[in-house]
Amino acid sequence: MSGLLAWLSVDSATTPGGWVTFCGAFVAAGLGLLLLPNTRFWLRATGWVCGVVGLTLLLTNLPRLEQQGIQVVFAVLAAITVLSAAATITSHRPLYAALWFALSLIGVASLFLLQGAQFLGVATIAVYAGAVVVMFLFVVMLANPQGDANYDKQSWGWYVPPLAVTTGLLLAGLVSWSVLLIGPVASTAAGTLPEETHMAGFGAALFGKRLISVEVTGTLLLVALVVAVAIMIHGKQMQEGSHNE
Amino acid sequence: MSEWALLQNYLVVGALLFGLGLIGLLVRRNLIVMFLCAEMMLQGVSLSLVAWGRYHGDWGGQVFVIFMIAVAACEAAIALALILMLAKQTGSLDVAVWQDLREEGQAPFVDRGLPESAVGKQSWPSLTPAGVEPPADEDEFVHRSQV
Repeated sequence: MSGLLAWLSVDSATTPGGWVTFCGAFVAAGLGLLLLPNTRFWLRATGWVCGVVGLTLLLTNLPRLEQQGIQVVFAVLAAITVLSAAATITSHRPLYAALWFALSLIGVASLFLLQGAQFLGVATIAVYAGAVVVMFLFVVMLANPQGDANYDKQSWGWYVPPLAVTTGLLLAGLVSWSVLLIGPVASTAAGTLPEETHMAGFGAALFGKRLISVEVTGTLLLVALVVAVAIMIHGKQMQEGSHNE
Repeated sequence: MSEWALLQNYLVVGALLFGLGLIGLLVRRNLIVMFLCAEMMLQGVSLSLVAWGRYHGDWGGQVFVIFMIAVAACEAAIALALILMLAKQTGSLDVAVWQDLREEGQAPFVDRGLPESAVGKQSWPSLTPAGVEPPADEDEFVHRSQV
């Protein structure tokens, strides 16, 4: 215990790797407990407490911004985003998973707004939270009316959740570690995107140099629409065929 | 210096979202939730893109995220149509139903160790057995239409 405390106080002060590992261990323990198939209250509560402690440690140890207010707002928004993302992957009912995902999207949209990406914030809420999540909810209603299924509670055997948690958090931890370790990348134009004339600049960038890409994307959307309709018609024909036999 | 710190903060949160989505994609077996997790990974990437775009004072990051949203919407439309068809054919959103598509020589996945609470909650309607089972009448099966 004292060794752990000494390691914490020395190592975490000198290198960012120490506290990233430490927070990752907390988050991993929490996620591992939450992904267990059983629904006992104290296990899930312990998992949430571990996850929240790890996330709080991570957010309070991130590099400081100059404005204290933006730092606080960022920490709150990031906590909302990450916690509701964790709730998405751990909730046993797909309906609740879709609703938590919508909250996570709202968090991401607010983070976009904090970056000055106004149009993206609005577009994320309108397209994702407004259209895609509602489509998900429709499919959940149509396909799974009983709502509660065994395959939602258990994974691919007992060893898959620990392995997956290790893999995912190792990836995220290594990316964070390397980002926190390296010094500033050279940039002459940091934070020079205008906030007042945001839409004008963004529209000029989108419809000027990248006009052909925009047109191709529009065609892609049309093709996807036709394909989705074709899949539904084909599936209906197949079902009617099997009924007639 | 503050801009660099802001970029670091956003990259850490983006990496965390990406990792969470990856974990969900590997762990969950519900087709819809797996798809939600893939979308979550996209969100992590777009956070990083917007942060880099701001750091370099370039519109490229935000423009790229617009294209990502468009492609993700296409993907969602097609994938949800497919999922609906698959669910109608089998009556289940479980991916393990489609494990016949696995590679040759791969052992099949068998469900083991159902959670106790889930087993205990299920209650099936049952009739008390009464009397002896009558012998099967061959004529009755011929006359009966498909039930």
